[in-house]
Amino acid sequence: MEVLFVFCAIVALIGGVLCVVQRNAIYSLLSLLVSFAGTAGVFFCLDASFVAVSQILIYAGAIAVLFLFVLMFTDTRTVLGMGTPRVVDSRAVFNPDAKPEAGTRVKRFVLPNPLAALISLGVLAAMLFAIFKLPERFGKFGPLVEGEGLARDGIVPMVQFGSASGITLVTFQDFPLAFEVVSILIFAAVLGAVLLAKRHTAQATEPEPAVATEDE
Amino acid sequence: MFLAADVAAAHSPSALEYLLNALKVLAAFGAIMSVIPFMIWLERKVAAWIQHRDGPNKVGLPRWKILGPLSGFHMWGLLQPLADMIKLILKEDFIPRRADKFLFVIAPALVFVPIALAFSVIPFGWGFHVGGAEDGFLVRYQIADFGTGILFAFAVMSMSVHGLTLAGWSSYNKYGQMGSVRASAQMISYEAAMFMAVLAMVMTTGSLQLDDIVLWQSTHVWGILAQPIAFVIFLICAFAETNRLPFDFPEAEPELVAGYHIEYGSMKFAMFFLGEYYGMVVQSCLIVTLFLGGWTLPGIPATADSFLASLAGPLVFSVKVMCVLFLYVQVRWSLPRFRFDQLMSLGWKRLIPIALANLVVTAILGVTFAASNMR
Repeated sequence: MEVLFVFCAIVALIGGVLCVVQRNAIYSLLSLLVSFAGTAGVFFCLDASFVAVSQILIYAGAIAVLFLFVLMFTDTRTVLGMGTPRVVDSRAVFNPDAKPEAGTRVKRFVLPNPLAALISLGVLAAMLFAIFKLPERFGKFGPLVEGEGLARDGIVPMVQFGSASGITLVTFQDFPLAFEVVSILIFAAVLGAVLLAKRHTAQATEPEPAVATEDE
Repeated sequence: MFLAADVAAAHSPSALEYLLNALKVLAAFGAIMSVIPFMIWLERKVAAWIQHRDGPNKVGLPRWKILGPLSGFHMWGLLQPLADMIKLILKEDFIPRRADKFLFVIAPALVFVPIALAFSVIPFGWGFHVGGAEDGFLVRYQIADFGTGILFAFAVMSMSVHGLTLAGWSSYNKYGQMGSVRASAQMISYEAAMFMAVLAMVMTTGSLQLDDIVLWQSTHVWGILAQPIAFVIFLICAFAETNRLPFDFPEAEPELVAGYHIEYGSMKFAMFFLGEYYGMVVQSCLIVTLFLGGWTLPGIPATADSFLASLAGPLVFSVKVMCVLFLYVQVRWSLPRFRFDQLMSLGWKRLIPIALANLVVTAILGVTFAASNMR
């Protein structure tokens, strides 16, 4: 199991590094997928099958498909007028106006944006704090614990660590406030998205041609 | 609640168990791979039947004297898939010049492997008991059994859309690219409804484990009666998930020629083909497991664990799966293709609200009659 754990961790790390280094956005996405799969493997090795499956379902399944959907519309090959997809600056892909001067080479390595680096370091610090400063919070979970919250009619079911019930207990019994805050955050994000989409359609001077017309 | 998991945790696996597990993997994979040629034959025969043609009826046994009266027997064209396969193997393996070679080559595998993985959690029977009462153990008719089996099946199956999308994108072809866009757009429009339909069934049975769901159905009613709305939604989404007519937009022959696999030939194309049919088989298994009682049938004990009695399970399961597969084929040749935007509005504006309402009603009923649902 330890060997598998180390292997999955290495796969996840390699995927993560490749994701950042890769200059073709599609390959970045693929590396990200590899990283997700490695992370899911790590969770599996830690006996947290629910988290592992959620990792695949939500990240590798849903979110990566959304990325892919967007990438399909950004033709990475023609942005810089180059023939093959390997020589495209992944930044330029998302900024069609930034065309390089004729004759200049596309930079091999792009330095990270300082703000992005700062945010990433902040997130890392928060996670390290959570890992090293809050051990006793998570210490009470053995492989099998009695779920007090699920007790009904005098029957106390055994709750497996990392199972759906285990996650449910932690979420709704120990951290209900955090759960509610997260749900409000997501709700705000959805509202924002709806607002942006609404404004976009309101500002459009002429109505977009209906998709249906091409088939009629 | 964790019935099967507790059974599995009660003893440490022996060498014999590892061997049996490996055999299970081989048997399940082999069974599906041998159903697929038959499926292809069935598809062509049903198509011919619906269109008033004969269909494949020539490829059968050779005219050899040693075969006696069977010499030259046409076998209703049953060996046609074999001939198709030989043709595909002998074809030139072609890669377009401007294609992204790496992605072009791995894309067929990215379609096939996740779908094949998904079968690992499907229980196709209860199992049989090996050894004595003390040191014996139960050999389950299921490759992997863990607490979140149903989520695992859908999680890995949803990964196969990456293969479709990358196939179209990497072949550097307009039609391929359009097929890719359609594949990813299609996926985000039906998946949410599909999961909500499954979630309604999970709430009803109170378990994420597929074998627990089947056992619940054997003691109560089949899922199709307990959750009819969820069943219809799931069936529609299952057709979309496997890219079958009426939702086969990524390949839509009349519009996109062949869509995402337009540049593929030879065994790479065969891999997509296998992936599509494997997906159909796995989806049918999921439909049977979730809504049609799995391996159980009223009148047959669901958890008999002597070897002979346990064989009824896989048999019943196969018959049910074949019925669903037949439905798949019949629908393909009966219904016209939807227009692309129609699936998106169907998914987002019809199926998701209905599935959500169904979920809310299920939750309210579940809380009201909680005692009967909790095991």
